[in-house]
Amino acid sequence: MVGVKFLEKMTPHTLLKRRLSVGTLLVSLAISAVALGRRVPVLSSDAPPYRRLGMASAPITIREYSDFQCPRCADGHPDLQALYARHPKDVQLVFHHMPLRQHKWAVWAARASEAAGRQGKFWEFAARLYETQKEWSTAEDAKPLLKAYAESLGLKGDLFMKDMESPAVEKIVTDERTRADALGIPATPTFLIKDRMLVGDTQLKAFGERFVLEELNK
Amino acid sequence: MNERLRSCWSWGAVFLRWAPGSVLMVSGYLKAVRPAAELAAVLESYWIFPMAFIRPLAHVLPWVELLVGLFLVTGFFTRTSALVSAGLFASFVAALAQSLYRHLPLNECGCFGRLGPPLTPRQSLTMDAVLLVVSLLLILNRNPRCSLDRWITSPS
Repeated sequence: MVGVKFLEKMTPHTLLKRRLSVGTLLVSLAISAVALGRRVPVLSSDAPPYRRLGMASAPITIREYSDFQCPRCADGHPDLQALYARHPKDVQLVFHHMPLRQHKWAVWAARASEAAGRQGKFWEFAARLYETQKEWSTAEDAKPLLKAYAESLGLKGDLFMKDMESPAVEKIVTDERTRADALGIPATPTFLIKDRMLVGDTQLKAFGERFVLEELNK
Repeated sequence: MNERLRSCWSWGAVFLRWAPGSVLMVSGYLKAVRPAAELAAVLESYWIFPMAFIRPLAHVLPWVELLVGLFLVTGFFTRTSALVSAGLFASFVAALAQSLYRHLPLNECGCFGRLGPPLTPRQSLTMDAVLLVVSLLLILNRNPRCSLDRWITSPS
């Protein structure tokens, strides 16, 4: 009641001044807390050359964090390739492995793509994995199928299997997965167009072209 | 008796105010510190909004939640904040109810972003419905206790 009585005496100007000061303080507090809590991903550029597509001098790098067994990654792959095809001189694609734990053959598919990359056919093999996803992801043992896809692309089957099963390739895939988690990549597929994030194939379809054009016009 | 009841209500309202306030503050903060694309992907999975609307919404929503939550907890523009809070919870209830009705494949509601507790749509629907009722009750609370509003309007 005291406050209400005082209100009658207080000038609207004083009340407004007090409200503005308190409001500014609270909003500043919120902005500072968010600024302190935000983690800015530090992007490493350590993907091997065979997982890069396009010119190294291209002004825009698009990083794809993907799992070969994820259906939405398969849906997004042709869109990303089409985006690259529209800007071959301006865009460089970089693929990063992010095999999800709930996908039985995702790690093996990632290892297989590394093995294919070592024979110079990473992108062709990746496209094949996405096209045939339903086939190998439901197989009892996907490894013979992965070898068959590699051979159909003209790769040496025995060398492919040796690389795929090597501890060095296993480490590459594990390290990439750990790095994706550390960067806070929320889901697959995630695309980073410079530092702007798109999560899912629908967002890539809706905003990918626009983001590339905006970055080019900067 | 009437005076005692009024006193109980005014003190109870302080604790009631902190419930939706702290939930909104935490959920808004946890979303605001993450990239907007992450929340956009969550909003997308509800199949309500067109894509062109989702991205701006993903930028704005965490800040609205955070500020309304902070205002409610500190009791600043309390009744207006309670009104906005009721609007937020009503829209969350509507979004979750339609997702359950349409059997959308949502494992978790995404209410607290990636860093918060993973609530199922059913759990968060219950929580939001309760907080909606609390927010509506708070609109009736004039001159709230332990609030910045009271401090602002009091003699210095």
